[in-house]
Amino acid sequence: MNKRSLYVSLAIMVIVITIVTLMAIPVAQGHTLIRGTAAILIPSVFVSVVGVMTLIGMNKTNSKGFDERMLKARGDAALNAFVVTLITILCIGFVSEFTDGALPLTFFEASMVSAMTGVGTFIIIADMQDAYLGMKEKRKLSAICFGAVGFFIVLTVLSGISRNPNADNVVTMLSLGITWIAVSVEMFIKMVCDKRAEKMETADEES
Amino acid sequence: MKNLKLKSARAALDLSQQELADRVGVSRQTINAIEKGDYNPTIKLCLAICKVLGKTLDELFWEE
Repeated sequence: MNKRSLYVSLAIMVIVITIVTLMAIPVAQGHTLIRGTAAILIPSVFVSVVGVMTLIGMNKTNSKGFDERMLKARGDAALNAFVVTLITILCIGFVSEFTDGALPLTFFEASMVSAMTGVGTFIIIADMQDAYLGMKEKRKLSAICFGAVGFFIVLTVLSGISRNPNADNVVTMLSLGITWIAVSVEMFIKMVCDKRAEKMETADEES
Repeated sequence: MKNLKLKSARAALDLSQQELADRVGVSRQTINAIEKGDYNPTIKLCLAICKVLGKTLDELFWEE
């Protein structure tokens, strides 16, 4: 990852963390007034992030950001994520339909759960095939950051529920937090696997 | 199927996977995947590897 991409990625992470924090504080206090703001903020954040990532991707076509194997792996991951998102939407729909609305999800919350499932699936599958942002450097730091933010969001939501069981955006924030934690766990597992594989390869090369 | 020809050609030049990857312009994992037979490279990448290792396509990628 070159310096420019690293700075852009860090800037995106800071912006996302700031917005998530700003959204999480009212939830933690059990307020229910954030629904309207969140409905605008969350899609805005995702559109911004996707936009910036697309711009980086466009600039990377001529650089060594992704090689052909990575591009193929990312394509496969995107397809898998798409399928998983569709299945999630269908599952939510079916469960909601067959339980006569016992699943208390609004359309916005169901969309967010589906979207976060898709995003998480893409990141995890792509990263398992060493194709997510070519992220090899600062991997431990990234995993810790993802995990810390995820835990922060989940703890904040739990704190909010304990103060006000009817707090808004609980499902949305939980899906966001769980996705980040899942990505963090995957990154840690991948790190351990990579270390073992490297040891085996080194031993193999020496023999 | 493992590509032992590629591995031995690389070892003959005393190159690590990372060094070969840098010279070819791909990631180390891609070279590793090709050697393990997990990934079929395009002809463009095969040619790049052949040029770096000073071998022909047949010598590195032809399966008998």
